[in-house]
Amino acid sequence: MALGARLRALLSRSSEPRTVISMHRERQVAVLSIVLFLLIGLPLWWTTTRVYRASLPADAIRRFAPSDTLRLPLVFHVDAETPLSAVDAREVEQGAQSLADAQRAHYAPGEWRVRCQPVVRAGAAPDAPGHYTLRLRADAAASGVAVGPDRSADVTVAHSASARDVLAEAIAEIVAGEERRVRGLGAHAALKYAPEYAVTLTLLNEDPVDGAVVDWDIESALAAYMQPLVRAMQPLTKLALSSQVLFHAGPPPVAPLKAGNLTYLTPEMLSHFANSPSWNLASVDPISPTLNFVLYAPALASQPLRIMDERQADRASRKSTNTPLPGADAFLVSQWGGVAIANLPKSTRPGDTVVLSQAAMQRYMGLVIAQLRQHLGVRSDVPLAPRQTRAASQKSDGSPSWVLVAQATDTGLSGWEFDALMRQWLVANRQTAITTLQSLMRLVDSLQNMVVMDEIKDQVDKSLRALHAIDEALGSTAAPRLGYLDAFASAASASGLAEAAFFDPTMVSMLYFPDQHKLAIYMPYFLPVTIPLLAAIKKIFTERRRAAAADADATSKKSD
Amino acid sequence: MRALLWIAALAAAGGGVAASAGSRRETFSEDLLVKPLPDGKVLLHFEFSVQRALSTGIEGQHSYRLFPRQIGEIALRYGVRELQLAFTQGGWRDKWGYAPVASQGAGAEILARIEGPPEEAARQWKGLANALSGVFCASLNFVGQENTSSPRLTFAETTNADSNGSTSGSTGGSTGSNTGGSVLKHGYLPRENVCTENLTPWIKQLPCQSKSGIAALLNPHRLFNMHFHSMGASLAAATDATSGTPVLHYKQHVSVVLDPSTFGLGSNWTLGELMDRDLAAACPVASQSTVRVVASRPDLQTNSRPDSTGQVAGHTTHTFDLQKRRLDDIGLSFGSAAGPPPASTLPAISAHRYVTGHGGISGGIEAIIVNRRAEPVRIVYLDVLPWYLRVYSHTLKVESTAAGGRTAALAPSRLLFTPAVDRGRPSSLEVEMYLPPNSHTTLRFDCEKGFLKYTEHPPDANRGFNIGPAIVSYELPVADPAASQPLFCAAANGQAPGKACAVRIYTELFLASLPTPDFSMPYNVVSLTCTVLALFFGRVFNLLTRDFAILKQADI
Repeated sequence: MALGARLRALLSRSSEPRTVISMHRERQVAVLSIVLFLLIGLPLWWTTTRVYRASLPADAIRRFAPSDTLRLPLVFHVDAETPLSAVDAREVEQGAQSLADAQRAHYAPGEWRVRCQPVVRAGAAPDAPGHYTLRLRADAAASGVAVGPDRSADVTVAHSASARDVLAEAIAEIVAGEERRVRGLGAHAALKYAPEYAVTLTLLNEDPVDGAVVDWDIESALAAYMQPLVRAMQPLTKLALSSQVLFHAGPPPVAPLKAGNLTYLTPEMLSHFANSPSWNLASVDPISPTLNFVLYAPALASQPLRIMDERQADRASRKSTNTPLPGADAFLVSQWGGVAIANLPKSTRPGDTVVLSQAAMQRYMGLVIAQLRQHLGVRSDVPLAPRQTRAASQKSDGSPSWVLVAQATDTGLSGWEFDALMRQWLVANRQTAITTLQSLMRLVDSLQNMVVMDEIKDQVDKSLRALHAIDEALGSTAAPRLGYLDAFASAASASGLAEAAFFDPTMVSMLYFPDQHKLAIYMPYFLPVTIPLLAAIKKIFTERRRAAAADADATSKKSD
Repeated sequence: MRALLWIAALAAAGGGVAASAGSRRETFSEDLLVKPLPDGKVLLHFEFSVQRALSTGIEGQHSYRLFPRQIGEIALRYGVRELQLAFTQGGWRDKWGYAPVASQGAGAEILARIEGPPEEAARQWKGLANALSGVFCASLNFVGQENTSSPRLTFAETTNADSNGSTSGSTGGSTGSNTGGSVLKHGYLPRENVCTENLTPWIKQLPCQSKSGIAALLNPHRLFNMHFHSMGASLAAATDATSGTPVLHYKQHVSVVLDPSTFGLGSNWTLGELMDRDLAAACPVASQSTVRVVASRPDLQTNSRPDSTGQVAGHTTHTFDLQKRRLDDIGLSFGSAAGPPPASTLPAISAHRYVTGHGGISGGIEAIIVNRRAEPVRIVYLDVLPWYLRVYSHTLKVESTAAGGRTAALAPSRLLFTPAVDRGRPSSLEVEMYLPPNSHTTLRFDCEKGFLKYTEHPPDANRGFNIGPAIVSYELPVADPAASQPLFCAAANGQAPGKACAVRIYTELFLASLPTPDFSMPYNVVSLTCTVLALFFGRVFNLLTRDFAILKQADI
């Protein structure tokens, strides 16, 4: 009991007659040391119980603004019989740029930079995104552009027009077309970019017991019609194809209408027709967005089933049965996929087994590809929007009066469409990455209790590096590098990393200790400690004041 | 559209499905076995199996017809070579004979052979459990490292030549768990309750769902008003019996033991009355659709003539083929006159396990294994216990009482013990031994109960912890097809007679009550500590800052 002994000694000493001043000093030292202890201890306790928060590069993130323009350089290689001079090339560039700028009604996130490579031997232009070959053809009655399925176009120049103006117009139109696409992005049913899409083709049999059992030769149809598109999309995204056959799809939630011997669905009924809960379409893929393309074989009683409105049905039911049926047999469901109806031949009897051959599915696969292109955001109005009407009304001497766009029938995706989709996703991914990083910063700033692990900082740093890599890959306006595929990959990884950081599970597991709880837990200790301490401090001050007054009193008495 | 279609040759007359490119690659068969049990109850065993050729056209593209796409995707994604999943409720009684299914322990059991190196397989296993828990609406996601074991003797690989792919034809049982670059993982959730919500997704995987075929009888109100219920699925790679090509075999089963008297049915009832559903037409895409009635009682009569009659597992069996004719219902009637008592159908081996000791610290586990055969039987006893039951392997004692009543110590021929790691893995004890003929063998060992962190207790902590069953596996030599044997052995023997058949027996679960803390403890501790500290501080502070002066009497 060393402490007890010391206290007793203190007590015995204090009981001895001593001066008031030394007594006060001892007491003040005790109080002061406790206050000192608290002053050192409280910050120490505060820092040791704080959650770990890695410092995120706030300045570097803030430097990117989502409204930042990304300069997308395009190089047009002009293949002409008489090579374009450097002066001509610059004039074409300037003309195209000013035309494109004039057409830009609103702000667009991308900023296009056009360069014209004047002289090129035939076939010397690299077959890479961003490089386009324009073949000049003279000797024609009217100017026009014929866009090929690869990255090239034939520009026909009329005798009356100047090659420079026609070229500038054609280039400006390509650029403006892209502007329109990027602006109109949000308005469409296109899915967000994902590195992999799970595409499932499903054959639904409504009633295999009393109707026919429908099967399909999907393997060869996929190989023949879908595989080229899958290969063409490979550098951008992976389309994971699978197919299934489901029986007993059951009666649809809306019963088709009847008019004569015609069964039809009105466009208004379609939103209730796709019945995904009873169609067993669930996928086990946890990450990739799923697109479902359904081929629906209706019960024999409701065949042939078409999609049309009442007026069409009314007219069709009055006509003879031999004419082809009006209306459509497929519809698109936004963000989900598409549904097509398989009408079987009239000779089908209950109990039959009908196998749809590869050739029989050509039309259906064409529908699937068209719907898939819509879901991915591929639009066929690029690169050159048909503008015959405008050309006719505007008596512009240079503008091409006809435009032909060739479809890429072998792959389902032309070089122009590929580039446009890539640029569209590149811009969108970059924007996603920037906005996500900024939201992450805001979130971390607003929640001071949130743990920020080093992995989060790592991901944010990598995402920022990828954002810088985009600019590097594209090069500057003066020296375009056109590393579009690298830039695309960087943008995809930047947005992927930013989202991974934002949705990291460690960010969610925030320990939630409300202030009331903390107060309730620490109150039993701090309240009994603080009150005597404050009382002692107050007492010291009052005693001092009293002592000072007494001193003043004494001195005044002395002076008296 | 008409010109674009091509109609395959039709062969609807025989009720068979026309051969087409697609259906040849996948076949589906459905079967219901009805077996009246000696005590008046009835066993219904539904079995649906899909077979699918393994070869695919283009890399990464998979086409499914009859095979459920979700299961196919799971098998591919997680590198599953073999999968067995069972949800069971109730206990299988010895008096009912052999169980119709391999897994009979209450709760959920999942067994998978996963390809790849062990670390990779552990990650895939977790993903597999999560995916299956989503597909079957079960809490399989609670299968983790701490309740997964890799037994080495008990589960023999089931890849065999027969296309039925059942758990038969093991080869000696001594195959290691890591054969051919695959890892065997076994998880058990004894707390899992099986319910309609598990049955609905299970039915959705059938090609005809419950809208046609035998599955139309699956009425959840009757299936879960039962004495024993086992529902499951198994996936195994096999070789097609006819073509010899590698196939993937997916089999779904539901086995229930119902008591007709519960539903007010007497000695005459029909399947429709028993299940409260009508027997629909055969599933149009099934290649086989049969109902088999086992005449396990001599006084059994069926109301319509069976299409064929045969022998299955020692009993006359009447087969009704739903594809040959449309059957509205099948009626069964039992004569009141008691015939000759049926021969004993008790299984060759039965096992029970008990927990011994009392109190919250120490205890023991005792298992009794009965051998009813007149010859020695090699068995493997597997007991997987969670880490908080600390097993003392040195206390393991095996004693056997032979028919004469003589008790002698029995030396296990092989003993594999994997000690537990706290919060890491369970302990696993595998004992291989030869049971003497007609004997009772007792196996006992001691264990100590661990102390859990207070967050590790379940919400109803005072109830105790369910501990999964021990598994006794043995091989039944089935030279005689007429002998009493499990159903799956009989099915396997159709293809390869004379083969041994691997049988597993699950013991009962038990409840382990661990020391349970007071769950309001943390706040109490904080409050008490703060009060003591504050009191101490106040005393010391007062001593330091107050003057204590002795007052004279006169001053007062």
